[in-house]
Amino acid sequence: MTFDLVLSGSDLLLLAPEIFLTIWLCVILIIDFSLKDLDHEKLAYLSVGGVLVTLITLMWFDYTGVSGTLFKNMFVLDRLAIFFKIFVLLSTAFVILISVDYVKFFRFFRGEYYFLVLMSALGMMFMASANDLLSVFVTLEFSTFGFYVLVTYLREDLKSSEAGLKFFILGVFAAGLLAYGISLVYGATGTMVFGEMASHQGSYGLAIGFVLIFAALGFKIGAVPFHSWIPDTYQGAPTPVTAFLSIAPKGAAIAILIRMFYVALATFKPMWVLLFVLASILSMTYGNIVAIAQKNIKRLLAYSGIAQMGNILIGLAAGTKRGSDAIMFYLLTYLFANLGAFAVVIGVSNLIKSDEIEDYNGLNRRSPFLAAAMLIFLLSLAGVPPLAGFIAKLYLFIAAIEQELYALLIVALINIVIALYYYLIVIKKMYINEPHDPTPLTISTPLKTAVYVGLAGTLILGIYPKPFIDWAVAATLMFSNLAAPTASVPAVTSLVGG
Amino acid sequence: MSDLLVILIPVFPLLAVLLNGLLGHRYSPALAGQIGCGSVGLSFLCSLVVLGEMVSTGTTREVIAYTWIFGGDLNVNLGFLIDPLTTVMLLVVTGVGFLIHVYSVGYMHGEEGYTRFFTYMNLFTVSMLLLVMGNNYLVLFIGWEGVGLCSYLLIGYYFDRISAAKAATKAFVVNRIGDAGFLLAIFLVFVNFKSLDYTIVFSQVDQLSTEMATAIAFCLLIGAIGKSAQIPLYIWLPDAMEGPTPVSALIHAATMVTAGVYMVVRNHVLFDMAPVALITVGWIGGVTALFAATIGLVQNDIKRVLAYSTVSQLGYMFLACGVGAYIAAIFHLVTHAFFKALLFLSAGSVIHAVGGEQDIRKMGGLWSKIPRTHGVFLVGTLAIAGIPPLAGFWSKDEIMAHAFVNGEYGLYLMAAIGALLTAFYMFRLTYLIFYGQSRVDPKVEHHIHESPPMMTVPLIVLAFLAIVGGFLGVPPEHGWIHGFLAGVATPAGAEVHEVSFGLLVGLMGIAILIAVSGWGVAHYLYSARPRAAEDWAARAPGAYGTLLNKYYVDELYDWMFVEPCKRLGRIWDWVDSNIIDRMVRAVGRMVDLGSAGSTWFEKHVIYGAANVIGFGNHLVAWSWRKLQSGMVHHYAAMIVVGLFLLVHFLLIWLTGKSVL
Amino acid sequence: MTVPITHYMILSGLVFLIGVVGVLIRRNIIIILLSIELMLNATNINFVAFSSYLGNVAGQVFVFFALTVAAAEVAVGLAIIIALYRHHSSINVDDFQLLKW
Repeated sequence: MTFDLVLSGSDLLLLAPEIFLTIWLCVILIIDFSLKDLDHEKLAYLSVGGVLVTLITLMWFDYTGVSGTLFKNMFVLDRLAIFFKIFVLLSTAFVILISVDYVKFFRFFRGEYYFLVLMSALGMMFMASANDLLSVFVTLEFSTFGFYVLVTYLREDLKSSEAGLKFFILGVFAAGLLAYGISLVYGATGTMVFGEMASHQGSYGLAIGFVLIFAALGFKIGAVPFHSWIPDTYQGAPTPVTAFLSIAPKGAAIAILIRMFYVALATFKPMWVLLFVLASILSMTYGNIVAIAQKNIKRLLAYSGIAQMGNILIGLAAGTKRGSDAIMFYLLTYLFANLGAFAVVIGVSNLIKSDEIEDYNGLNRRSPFLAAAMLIFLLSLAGVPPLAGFIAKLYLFIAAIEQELYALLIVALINIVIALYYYLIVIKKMYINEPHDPTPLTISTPLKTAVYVGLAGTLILGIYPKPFIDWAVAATLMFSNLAAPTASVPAVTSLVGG
Repeated sequence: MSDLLVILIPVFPLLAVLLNGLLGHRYSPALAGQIGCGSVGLSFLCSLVVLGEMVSTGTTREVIAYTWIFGGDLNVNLGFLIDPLTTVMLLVVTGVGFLIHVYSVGYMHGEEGYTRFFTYMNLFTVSMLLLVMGNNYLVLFIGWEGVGLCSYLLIGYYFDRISAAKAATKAFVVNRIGDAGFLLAIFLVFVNFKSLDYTIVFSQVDQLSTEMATAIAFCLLIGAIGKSAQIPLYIWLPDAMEGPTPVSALIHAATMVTAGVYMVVRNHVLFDMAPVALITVGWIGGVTALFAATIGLVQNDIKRVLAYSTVSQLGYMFLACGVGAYIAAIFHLVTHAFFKALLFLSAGSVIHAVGGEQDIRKMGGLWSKIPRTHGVFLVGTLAIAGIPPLAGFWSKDEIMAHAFVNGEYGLYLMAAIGALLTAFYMFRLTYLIFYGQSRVDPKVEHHIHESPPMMTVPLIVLAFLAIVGGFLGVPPEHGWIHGFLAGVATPAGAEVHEVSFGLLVGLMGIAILIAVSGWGVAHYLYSARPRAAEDWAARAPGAYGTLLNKYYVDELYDWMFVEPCKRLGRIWDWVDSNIIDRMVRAVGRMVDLGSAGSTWFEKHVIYGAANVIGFGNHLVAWSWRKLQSGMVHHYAAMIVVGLFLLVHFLLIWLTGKSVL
Repeated sequence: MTVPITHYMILSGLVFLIGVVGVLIRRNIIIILLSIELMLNATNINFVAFSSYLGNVAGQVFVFFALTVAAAEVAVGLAIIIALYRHHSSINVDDFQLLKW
């Protein structure tokens, strides 16, 4: 076997967005080094500009149908990958916008902050294109390294350091599990490319290997029982980093999950459905119940995030094209609602230096705009129509019921009632309780822009979701054959449905 | 009529919401009020045109605004179905809604957040219109949740009241329980029909098995019970009276709470296929009608009496649905909207007059001081009590007659006793407010004044409707409304019970007798012998206390559901910190024993130094160290244990045997 | 006589387990890092053995990448540890439990 690597111009085109972003982030770093007096805010806008250029390139790719594979199938650019790349870049632009004010509080390394954010984004773009287990491993680690540093960015703050430490130890621990899982799968099948695994026989090595890989990806998205790092890390990390962490890596990891389970393991669907049903039920229930007892808004959003990932796993449990469409649309709605909520949290914490839910008392008197925005974001997360979150949940539930996952669906329906309860606790504090300190709050322009974008997304995706659903549907056309394979295995339906 | 006209009906209030919500702070509250009222008025005019078209042509039509959700075989439009049932609901929502909006301009005058109030009210109107106009279940559900949300916002309108905040949360969460049931019904419909459009579903309904129809009907019923405040989910409605009075009139009397009835009638084809579900509807309605009426007997808050009365009257509508009298249910819905809105608004006028007092024990003798309010309130009382020829008599009599003719004598009996109690508590309310000695606080006494015309004019219009509204359904069974709704609300395959003229007159006579005797008892207790009521209460303190405390249902629910739920969060905390923590710690300890052993080995064998004291210290340090939980280890252990269980579970499932 | 593949798998499994147990029970962050290195090296043993057994070089390619990733991990990890030690004078994980519940 020989390794011959030939790259033509058209091959490079597939990599163009990544290459451009790499150059761009080097430029950012060089500017930061060479122009010491430059206001870091300019660097932020420069970064957003680069991200937007990349975003537009990808949209153009999507529109013209550029696709193909590179490096012996390791890297794939198809509409699914493009969807997730756009997702990652959108959240990156969003996060940079909400960081601008926060970065002022850093005593040093302000410029490097944007470099690290962009580098993590680059890693996640590669994750979206990962088409074999080697690239899964490398890209996953690549994107996480940036986060290890970002979480610890407030060096003097004990909480930030502790969060970083916990995240790092557990993160590399999960990486170890991932690598070992990959080695078992490789031993069982003799290949690491997803597409070539599909034809292999099932075996213990394959099953255990994939559970290990699932654990590592479950760790990334924060699914129970691999969620343990989420609350502590979210609470301790600088809030913009928490916001980034709560959305972009999850999206990228979901991209890998979809590709891996839908392509490599399509024939074993009856087996992995159970895995997702279990993880989904555990995540929803655990996340929602523990969220009730929270006193810190970032921790509350962390637990709510665990529950939201439980919802997303419903789509994977369905294991159909509709399931993946629903997940992708859900992620879009989650992007706007979740990042919007974090934008409000940052706005509030910049001004009052607190993330305690107690301090949200009477927010409506202090800043009606922030309170109203938070209200809409939380209601969307709770799935109240006509906001975006509702349509997304509906779509997921329909995917589940088509596969007759009634038990899962009933757990999910009970959970949306519980979820509404703790979101209402926050809403009640904002709207009904008396503020401790009635001084009005005003927020800066970049943050306001981010909140407006979040509001627009949450409302538009709720009221006119069709184009976005069409987009998700088109991105997963290759899964059209995954209609209803469960019918041939009655054991699954008897165990899960019933 | 053009499609545009239909689409404009919800668009007018929507525009008002956008205008007042986004730009409301730029102009005066008065203008915001005018925009709010005007938009609903325009919708009402459009609805009238729709009605005219409907009466003259009688054709049902669908209007599609745009394709909303699409993907594979899932295709849902934002579309409207205009048929006689929708038309009737449209007129109630926009007509009564318009009057209440006009009334609010006067009632809410000078309140903080006047613009916000109208924004919410208009948003509510939009949601309610979507609810009644939708041509598929999803649009219905959007409206359904939307009205719940607006109800939440409006009940919590008075920020500064903690009780208002609690009531709002209670209303939203209890409603959401019902909504979860409704959502499940929607999914079942989708799975069975691959569509959510009414026309497609109802035309293919005969392919459905009885079991599936029953399942869907029960899920729908859960939703209807939540929204229409029936047993056991009625508890939110009385508390919802914390909101401003026009809100109580619009949302918690005339429109939103009747959504459950509308939904049952809209889906009557499904209920007709599921007799078990249908009769459950009837009994829930009957029991609620009687139960809520008994609580209403002894309440002392003017709005709470009306709230329990609303729950009771909604029970009548459910009862009507349960015996297949869908037209009677809608007829009662319409008349109830007139007289209950009237009662709430005039109660608001009373409260306005006596400076915010709501306790009827602190009223009395008001009839001469606020004569117009007194007049319209009396009309409302006569109407709801069932005194002919006012509206309530005709609709309630029709429901009772249907129960009797269908052989549901148990339901008939409950309805009859309920009617007696209704007449009693309504006249009790009237006597205590308007007649007898004044018990008003002397400080307030000289402030008592009649409300401004902005409030009394809508009251007079509603009073007029409460008087003549019943003639929509006269003669019984063959009135205008029966002909109009015959096409959409006639039970499928039901045999026609030919009612003899004698029976009809007999039942009417009984109904009149019941109403008059209720009045008589109230007159005896609260006017002729004012002390008698208190004597009775004193003689049976247990019963009185039970009724006064609403059968302790709230306490029961708190004990059964709310406290455990709150506790669950705390218990989980406890489980997390004690059980899970201890388990993890135990695992850690076992491993640590090993590590201690290896440490021992290290110290004693490798270094060969018998440092017993050092080992003792190490042991102490080790046990002390155990007191602080090394969290990261717990986390890693959690991952490992979770992974182990997943692998184990998967292997059991794959091979059928445990590997342990 | 060739060594059967199962021997390699048992060896790598044992090394992996030692690594996992090390992460679970040791309190010194550097030792924890070393334990994680053990886990990755167990993976490498597996890959090389499978690669030779299957006659497929892809496994050995993975080992190179795994080594690189492990090196990067150590670099980032030691940086975090130094930052922690400078400000909190401790590299014992038990000293970091401000964030909980």
